[in-house]
Amino acid sequence: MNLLSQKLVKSSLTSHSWLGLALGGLMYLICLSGTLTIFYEEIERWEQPVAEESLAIDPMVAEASFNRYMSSSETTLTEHMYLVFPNATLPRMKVASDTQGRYVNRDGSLGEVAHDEVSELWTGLHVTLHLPDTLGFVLVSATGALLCALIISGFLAHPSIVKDAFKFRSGGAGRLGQMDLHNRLGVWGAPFHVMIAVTGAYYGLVALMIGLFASSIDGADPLFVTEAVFPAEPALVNQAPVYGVARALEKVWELSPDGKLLYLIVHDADSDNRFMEFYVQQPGLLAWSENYRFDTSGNYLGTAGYTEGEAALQALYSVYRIHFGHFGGFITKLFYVVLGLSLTVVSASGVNIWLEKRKYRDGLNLIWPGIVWGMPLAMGVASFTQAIFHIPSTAIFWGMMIVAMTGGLFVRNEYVYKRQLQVLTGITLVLLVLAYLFRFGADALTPAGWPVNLVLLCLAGLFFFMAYRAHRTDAYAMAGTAA
Amino acid sequence: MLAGLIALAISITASGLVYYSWRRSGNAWAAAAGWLLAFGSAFAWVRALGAEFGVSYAIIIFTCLVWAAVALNVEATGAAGQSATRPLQAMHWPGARDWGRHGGLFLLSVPVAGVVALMLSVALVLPLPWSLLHKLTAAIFLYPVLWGALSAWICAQDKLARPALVCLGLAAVSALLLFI
Repeated sequence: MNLLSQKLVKSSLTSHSWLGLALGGLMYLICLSGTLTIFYEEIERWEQPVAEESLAIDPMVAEASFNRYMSSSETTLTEHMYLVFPNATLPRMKVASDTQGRYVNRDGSLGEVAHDEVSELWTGLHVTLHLPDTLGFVLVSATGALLCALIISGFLAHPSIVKDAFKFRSGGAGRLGQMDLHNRLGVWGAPFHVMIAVTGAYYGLVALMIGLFASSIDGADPLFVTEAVFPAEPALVNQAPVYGVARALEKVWELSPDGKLLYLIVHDADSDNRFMEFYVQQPGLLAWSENYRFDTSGNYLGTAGYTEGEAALQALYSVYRIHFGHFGGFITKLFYVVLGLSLTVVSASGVNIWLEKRKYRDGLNLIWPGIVWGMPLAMGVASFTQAIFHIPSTAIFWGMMIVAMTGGLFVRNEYVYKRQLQVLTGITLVLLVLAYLFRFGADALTPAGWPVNLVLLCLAGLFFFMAYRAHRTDAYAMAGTAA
Repeated sequence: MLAGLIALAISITASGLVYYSWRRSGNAWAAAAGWLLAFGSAFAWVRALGAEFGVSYAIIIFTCLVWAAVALNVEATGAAGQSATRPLQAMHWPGARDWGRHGGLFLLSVPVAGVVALMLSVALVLPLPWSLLHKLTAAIFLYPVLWGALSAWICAQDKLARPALVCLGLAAVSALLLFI
């Protein structure tokens, strides 16, 4: 029995194809960078293996180093100032402003200038596509909403969803193989994909929602509505710029003995209204944190109530961890990599199906591999220039993307071009590891350096293997330049 | 630990039964038992990891196990279905009429649908007898789904006039509910 009429299936397929083609490239960029972003802490640690590491938190040392940083003539005060506590993934303490930071040595002295630009490069790509913040947030969030459209139309366009539930004809890059890959990953992954779409849409759209609520409720202003979601900050005056971190820390540990201390933010650090807020993750809860607030002398003011308040508030504060898989430890991150890559593959294979379906090939067939296989290459090159030479590499990434997208037009054979990009990516990753070893010497082999280097080498091997296998088995090489 | 292993065993059994039912051409008992266990596994995961982590893990593990079953079922068919000898030809650029149609479809399905869905989601939750926080939360999670559904419907239409009129109507009704 087919519950879907032929007309509905046909129109849904039209809708799915149109939206998929319009969004495929953008979705691919966001999904692949998002998958990498799961490991932003590991990447940040890898960027700077020379920083001193320790999991211990000595309140007096933390207080002394934070106050030293805050009063240093080299520090530019910004609205928010940070003391980031060590954790198992990133076992180093950091003091920072909104724009720069320093690691803290084990003895409390200020250590190396903190570099997290590679990590920022990929989180920035995922969150804002390197566009100005507001525009980027809205665009990426809109893509999340449109992912819902793709999921809905995809289901309605799939009349044999039960019959084909486990069918997988692997045909290399052939259309049947691509279709089965696309449908099996898309259908079974749908609950996760919906979760990612809805939570991803949250960040850029919440401000619009608050604005519309405020204008729809008599007598309400945006602040009134905002404070329903983001509890009001304490109103303090005449707060001295010396911070009783140790006293406050002891209180936090007393209030939340099992909590995982994330960081301390001094809000309004550049004014006399400043106050301290400790972010502490609570065991078993998905909410990002409970926040403990103190004046600058370390007097306890209360919590923000993110984990103690209404369920709706907790749901909103769970969005980040659900979206990025930052719960349940490293194993959850690995699952999220699998699930994130599945959405990436769904994005790419959808366009592949459309390209394979056509009776002819044209420039689009040549440009598309430049997006799919050019992106890992561009990421590799930009990571190289950023991590090894500290060259701001946003422009390098996008420049490489343009080169990769246009390169196929000169090669004129997408299958050959795809293999070339795979080989180049493999070479780039090997060079990145070699340059890293050369730059950081023995530090490259510490726990901060070797795990990511090993992953990079494995990825390089995978790219070489894919290129080799394609060379051996693909009949596509025969396509030639039949223009 | 033990509770986690039990939850994992239930998820494996659930995915196994769903796969078995498919292999047996829709064995209804196996399918029903599989899906029942799949939902039941959520309780086991909740018991093992707590409510929030547990529900997430029930979904994630079941999805990954089913994909493993799909991978087990792979049929090697070579590169069938693709033509290696398709001619490479010059890019076909759409004419002004096509640009107009695609441009209109984009405007309607992305920004217009976004604005209409925003208004509609707020208009739908505002009259509910809930606290402001609950209304806001419901609207925040409803909005992308409504936007997606509206976009999918717009893109499925042959002509643009009908979705344009529907969007206009929905916006007008929402505006009435919101501002009058």
